[in-house]
Amino acid sequence: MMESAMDESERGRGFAALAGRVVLLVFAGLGALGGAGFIAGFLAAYHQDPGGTLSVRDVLILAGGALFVLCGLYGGWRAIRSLRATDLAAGPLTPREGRNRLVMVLAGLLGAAISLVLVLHHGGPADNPLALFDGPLSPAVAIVLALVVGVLVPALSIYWHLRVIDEQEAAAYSKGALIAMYAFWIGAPVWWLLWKGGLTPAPDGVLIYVTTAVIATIVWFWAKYR
Amino acid sequence: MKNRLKVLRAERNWSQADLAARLDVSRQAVNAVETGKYDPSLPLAFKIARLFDLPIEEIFDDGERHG
Repeated sequence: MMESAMDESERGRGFAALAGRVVLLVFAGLGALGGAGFIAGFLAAYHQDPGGTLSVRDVLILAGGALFVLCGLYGGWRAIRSLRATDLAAGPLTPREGRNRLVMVLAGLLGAAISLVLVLHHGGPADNPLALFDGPLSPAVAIVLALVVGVLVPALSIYWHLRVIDEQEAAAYSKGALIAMYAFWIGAPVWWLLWKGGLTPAPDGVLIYVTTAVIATIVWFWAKYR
Repeated sequence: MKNRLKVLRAERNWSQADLAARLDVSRQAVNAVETGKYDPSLPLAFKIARLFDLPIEEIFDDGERHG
């Protein structure tokens, strides 16, 4: 029997390698986006000065930003290629895994579409990335996004839970949800108490939500692929 | 829980992907069961037993067997 990459993970290297590639992919994506944002901001500032010219220093700074973007794109491409090679070596996808992959792609596209709408329509100052969460939205955009998150996401989630994942992934997901719930139940009141004591800033709902989601996702990923 | 899944699979010259497809689970699930990181539910254990045409206790060992 040909030894597959999945067999390799039995010797304890699989999860670490996979996690490393995913971390590389995330940082590469963030780096490329950050570099692109830096270049866009730099050029926007340049265009606001009608008589301004680009100095050699400016060009070098822009070239540095472009190099940063290219490094991010290259790192991301290498990570995707490596993940794909491991996946192919593990053998063909089972039908269930194929459906899972499709749902993940759909969820990613949905998340990207929601993010794009938020970036284009938020009312906060453009130079503040956190304004994406804190700035106001028009009522029409808010209603559409709330319907997408409140109706489409649950529909996709129900299909995913009932028709797509197997029992091992369901157990991994439950483990992630349990630990995230405890982190929320304990972390939120601890922060609130420290705030009441004047020791910390006021609890931030968005930060608590994101932290809870990140914990659930990390534990789920670990439990599924370890 | 210990099990003989990997040996039984190897005897049939099946890859983890082959076994996963036969059991309608993911390749990760087969790997997790084989390495003892995940104990299958009773329905999945029965499905595995039927696939290999063996009693469950000849595939899985909870370490409590006597004699």
